[in-house]
Amino acid sequence: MKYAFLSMVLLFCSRFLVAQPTVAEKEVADAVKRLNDIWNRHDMDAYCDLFTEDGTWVNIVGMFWQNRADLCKAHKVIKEASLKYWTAKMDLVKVRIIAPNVAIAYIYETIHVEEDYSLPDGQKFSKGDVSYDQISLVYLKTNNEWKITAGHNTVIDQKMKDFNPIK
Amino acid sequence: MAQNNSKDSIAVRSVIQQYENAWNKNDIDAICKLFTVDGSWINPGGLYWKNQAEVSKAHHAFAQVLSYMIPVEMTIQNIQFIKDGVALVFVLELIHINHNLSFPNGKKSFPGDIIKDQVSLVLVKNSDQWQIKAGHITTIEPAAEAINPVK
Repeated sequence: MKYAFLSMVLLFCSRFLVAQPTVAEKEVADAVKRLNDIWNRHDMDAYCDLFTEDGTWVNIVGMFWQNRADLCKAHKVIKEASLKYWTAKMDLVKVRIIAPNVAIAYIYETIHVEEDYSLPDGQKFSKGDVSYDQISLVYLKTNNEWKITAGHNTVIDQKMKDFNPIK
Repeated sequence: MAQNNSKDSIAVRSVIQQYENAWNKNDIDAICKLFTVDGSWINPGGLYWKNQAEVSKAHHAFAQVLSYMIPVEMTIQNIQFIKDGVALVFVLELIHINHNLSFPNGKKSFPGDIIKDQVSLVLVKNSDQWQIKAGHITTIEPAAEAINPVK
């Protein structure tokens, strides 16, 4: 009886132990929060500091930048042209620690257009427009700091969602 | 950065070649075997499948459409070994359309069209075998190439 009771207590406690994020997962979650804050402050130098020197980025139209200098230059140009007109809410879907000091963060991003603007090609955006992105970030911990070593972003096609075989 | 030995580099390239071969045979099971059990995929529509079972179910559901997107050519742009047993692989994918296609977003493709995709893959080495741990793909908008701030 005593052992049965102890087993039940251990089983009950283990459920909570399993549910707790590890230190590394929590650190990566904090890094994503920092990314979201910096992005919405439009502080592009701080943004660039979040990447490793060989960090890469694939943006929503498939532009591929292969190091921090390039992705930094490109993001500054695009931020000035359009990204400064909107804010992002980055919801962390999952963190996976795939090796010691290596993690993948999956983010569901909601974009809010904060004021009307047009792109040089005539495309118009209005205050209140909302769109959604799926982002994956590969984080690497070096010198006790988690940095993005690869980022990839794709627009979530709202019409495609209805055809998702996985609900 | 982790050591990039040629044996691992060859093995990683072989995974990409196997992926291309399997795609071109429309062999969904062979594609999915290249993933770890917890291997994830984000497709060009932003749909996120979080493990091999979901990747398999989704790809089987789209198998007929995928058969209209053959052949595919995969060109490795860069391989980075970021830790022992972890590689990032960047691939330019050219999909040759062989059938009329209408996508849910209203886009249409016709035989002879080529769709360009930018693919990022995370591969891990388990028991001496490299597998896909995560994949993410974005279609390259033709108009965007001209306005890329970094040429």
